[in-house]
Amino acid sequence: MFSVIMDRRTFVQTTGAVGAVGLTGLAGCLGDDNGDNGDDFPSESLTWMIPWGEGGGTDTYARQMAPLMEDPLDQSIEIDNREGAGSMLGSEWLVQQDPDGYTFGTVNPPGWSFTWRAQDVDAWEPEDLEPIAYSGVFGYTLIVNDDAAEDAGGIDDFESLRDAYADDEISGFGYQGAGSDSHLTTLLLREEYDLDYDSAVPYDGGGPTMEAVIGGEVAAGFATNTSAVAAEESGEATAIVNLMDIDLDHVFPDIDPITDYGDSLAWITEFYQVQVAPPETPEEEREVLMDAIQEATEHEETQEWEEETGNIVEFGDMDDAADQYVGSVEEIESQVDESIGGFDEFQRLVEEEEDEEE
Amino acid sequence: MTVESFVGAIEALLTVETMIWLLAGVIIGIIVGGLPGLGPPLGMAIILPLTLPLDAANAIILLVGVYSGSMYGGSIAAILINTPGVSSSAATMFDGYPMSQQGRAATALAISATASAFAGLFTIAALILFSPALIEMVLAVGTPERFLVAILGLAMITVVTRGSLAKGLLAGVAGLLVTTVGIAPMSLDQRYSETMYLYDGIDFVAVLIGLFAIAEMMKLAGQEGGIAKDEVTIDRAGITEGVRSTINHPITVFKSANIGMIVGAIPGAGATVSNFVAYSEAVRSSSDPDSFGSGNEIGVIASEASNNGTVAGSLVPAISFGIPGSSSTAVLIGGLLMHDLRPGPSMFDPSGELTLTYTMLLALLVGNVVILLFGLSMVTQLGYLTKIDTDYIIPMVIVLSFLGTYALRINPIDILTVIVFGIIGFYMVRYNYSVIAFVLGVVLGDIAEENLYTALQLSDGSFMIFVNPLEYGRWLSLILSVLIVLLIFGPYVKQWWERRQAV
Repeated sequence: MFSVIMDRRTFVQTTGAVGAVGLTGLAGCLGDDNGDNGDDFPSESLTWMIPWGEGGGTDTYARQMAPLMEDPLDQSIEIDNREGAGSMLGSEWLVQQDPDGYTFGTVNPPGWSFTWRAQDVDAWEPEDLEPIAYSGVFGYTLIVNDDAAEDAGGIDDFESLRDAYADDEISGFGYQGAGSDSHLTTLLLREEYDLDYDSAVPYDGGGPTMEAVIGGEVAAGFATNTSAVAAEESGEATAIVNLMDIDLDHVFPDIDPITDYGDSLAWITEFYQVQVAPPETPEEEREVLMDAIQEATEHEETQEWEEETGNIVEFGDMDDAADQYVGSVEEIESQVDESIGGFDEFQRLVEEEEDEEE
Repeated sequence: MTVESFVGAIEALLTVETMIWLLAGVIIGIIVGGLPGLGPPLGMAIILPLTLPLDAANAIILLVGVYSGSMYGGSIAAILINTPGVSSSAATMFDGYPMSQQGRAATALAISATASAFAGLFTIAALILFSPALIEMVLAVGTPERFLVAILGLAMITVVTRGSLAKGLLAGVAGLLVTTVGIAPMSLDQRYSETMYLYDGIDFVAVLIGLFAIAEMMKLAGQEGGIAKDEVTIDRAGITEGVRSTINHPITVFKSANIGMIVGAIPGAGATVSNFVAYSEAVRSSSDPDSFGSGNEIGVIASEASNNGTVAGSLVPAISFGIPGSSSTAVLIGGLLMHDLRPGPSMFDPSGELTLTYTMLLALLVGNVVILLFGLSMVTQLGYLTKIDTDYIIPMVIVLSFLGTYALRINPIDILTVIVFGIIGFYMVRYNYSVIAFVLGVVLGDIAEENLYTALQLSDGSFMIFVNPLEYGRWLSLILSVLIVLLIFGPYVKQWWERRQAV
């Protein structure tokens, strides 16, 4: 669902343009007397940038929260979808906006940091953006096709899934796009958790991957915790492995945690809905937004929505939000180094798989 | 039990409040669909949070009303100003716009309203009756089949191209080339993406708007008067003629609606593909294929019947498995979840949510009647657009095209795309290169590439997955492969056979 790797050359060329716009933003800031809006923030409508298309998971969160934030802010919030390049286009746009608190956005670290690193973006850095709060978390599970599981004599946890692949009783493992975080996780599951699938098959995002498992085209594959609910509802597939650290027992009572089989994978399988503001946005404005987000996450309607949809709503304040992405690129780099030998090696493995197909 | 659910659904539908929401949805849909670039997903996403205070049935009815209405609304801009309001109306332009030029806009609009409504009525009724079979079909369609459907669409180039076949193929290949820009759908290869704005490639809706709207406005700039070159007849006779024309072609309506429903049920294909397939099939089966592209009413019937048929088809994977076949159905699924309805078999279970599913489908049935009545009552007013002097039309269309294009994904590259393809489209028409073949390439390239790659990954690189059901168990693939071969070589074999018989 996230990104794909891109080569170094591509992004160098955007640097100049961003630099120029960045300066303009700064000039605007200097022109302002105090650099903040005083006590009357917000006095006009706000823009909430979502770097994904309408109807996706992050968009759904924002559209749930926005109306509930309008009351405490006493202003309307307009959702602005700026999709593209695995959320990098929208993020780059946000970096260039005025730091007046009226424009903010959502990013999904650590997947976001992974994408930034994998694409070698150098026009801006994740840490340029100012933290506001986080409002939720989601992550990956593994789902298995029920018929395939039955034919293999029952697959209900990671161990039996591993055995079924090892004994050639099932075939095909679906993930969400070449070079994505789920691709890296797929490789890690093979290297470190002995998941010896016969072929790993990339699909174009979460929907098609889930569809491939439900239709039995591949025996098992990735699904986010919310789409795993839908997969189970279809009556054709079951969520059997929780790749996150967050407990999912209330939704999937029998799900098997991957941490029983090795180290935590949360650094690449757990994603936060983190709200961030353009560089230099004053803390006072961000606090106002943070309070509104907190109110929205604790609202009765949100609680109901959480129960109904299986989305996990969780509030984290400004410091918690910063913790989710400040330093996360280094964390990912060291994890990738340790587990697979670095990003270059990851890219090499991905290309090797491609060549095998050709 | 099923009957009880059905009766319950009728009762739920026949309340003033529900009817108002349905009417509102359809009308909003027609407006959103009619504005270039503002497709149904955006319209539905804006409305989604507003449905929160409504009860589940009314909320879903409002959303599907927008979805269904926009499919018809897209044809208005296609017919009147050669701009696809939604990408699923692209094929409507091929004959709808020439009809406007001939002064027959009223007839074309009446055909569009009637064909949309009839196809919608028929496919929704079929969905109510045959949903179990359709659910099975969705599961049978996988990656290899999606690739073959795309190839079937590309093979249609041989059918829809008039004049030089070589030029048609060249245009088709050029269209495929456009889809190679950006990151390769299933690998890490970067192609021509010099800036991050090209990372996701060239947006095909922007290409369509350039090829048709901008190219046509360039052409019109050299022409005096209104869009209609001939005497404009906007009266009841034109409307009656349109309605009668649709009724006189029941097979085209039936066939196109079915194509729409089946292609719509295939996630990832949807209305954009189905309206081309239905149009090509209409050309193929016609006794006078050369008349298409210059105002043949059957072309409008085929395209418009298929895109409304797609609505019913796309609901099958969305409701039964929670699989979004398109952005529109993704938003719809979001709406279902928001109102505590989980897509899944329980939606078709009498002890589950069957009553609500029936209410939604019946609402769509009534929605199609609304489309028919609203559409026909608006024809005369809309038709006058073609009489307005082009000096006023051109700037309006150009502004709308650019605004709509920018709204697509707020990417400045799309603006450049519109300009470049406007110029390309202008010269393609001038030098008789098939724009339709080009569009088929642009629309189907990504779908074909992505599914070919994944299918070969499934078969360890063996192409036999497309033709050998004994090993891979994919009978539908074999049937599609045979259809493709028949489509390409059928006419030659027929000619050879006839010559042989003559000797």
